Amino acid sequence: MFRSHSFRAVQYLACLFAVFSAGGPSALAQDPATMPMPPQAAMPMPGPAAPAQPAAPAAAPDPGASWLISSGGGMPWQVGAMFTGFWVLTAAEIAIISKSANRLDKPKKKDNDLQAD
Amino acid sequence: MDGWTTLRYIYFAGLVFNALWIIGTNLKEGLWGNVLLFFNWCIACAGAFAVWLPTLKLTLNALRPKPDDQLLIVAVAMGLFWILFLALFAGMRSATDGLSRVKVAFHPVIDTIGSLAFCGLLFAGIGVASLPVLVVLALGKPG
Repeated sequence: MFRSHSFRAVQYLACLFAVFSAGGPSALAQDPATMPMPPQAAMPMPGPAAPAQPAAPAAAPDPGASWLISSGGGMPWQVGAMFTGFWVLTAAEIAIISKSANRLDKPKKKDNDLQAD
Repeated sequence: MDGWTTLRYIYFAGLVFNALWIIGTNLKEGLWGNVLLFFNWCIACAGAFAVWLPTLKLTLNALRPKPDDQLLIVAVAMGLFWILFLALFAGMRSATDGLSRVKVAFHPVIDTIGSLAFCGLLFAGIGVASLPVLVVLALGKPG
């Protein structure tokens, strides 16, 4: 039971890590592959030219809202590997700590066999 | 929320999970069992630290990281320490479980308070040992 619970906990942490370190839904929205296509621009009509609008300043990229393993601007892959490895090893540490808990209360197999006889 | 902040939240949630797990599984062990566990943990930490630097030097000599690979060096150093620590800790626990087959009796009040205190010390040790992860998450965020 302990193994299945700890495995689920590690899975849960890994999923959270994968989703949120990628910036969550905002990263999906910024991904050009998943962005909805903009409506086609209307054909220019002849007539008086509209005054030129000043160009909007380009938005600065959010360094945390890019995919985890990226070539620039995002979280370095070493940090992700470090974090994931840290929790995997911590789970192993907790497993070692828990393995011998209540060891004196557990009946030995030989005792069970004797009682069954 | 960016990834760096989210990882910090996951880190704190993981620490709370660890604390609850340690209390849930080890409180019934009593004062004697928790004292043994805590000293096993401390000795494994000290032993891992003693062999960590020479092993890290050998590993980095083999990997030959570039000067701008600081994060890789930090990751390798942390991973190496944890692996050495786990190996020593597992060995110490196995040896203790084999050698110590008695449960030393204390007064029930002292037993409960002592169990809580040593569970707390163990959790504090785990928290302190994991501080490098928090430091990387706090200082590594660009800008």
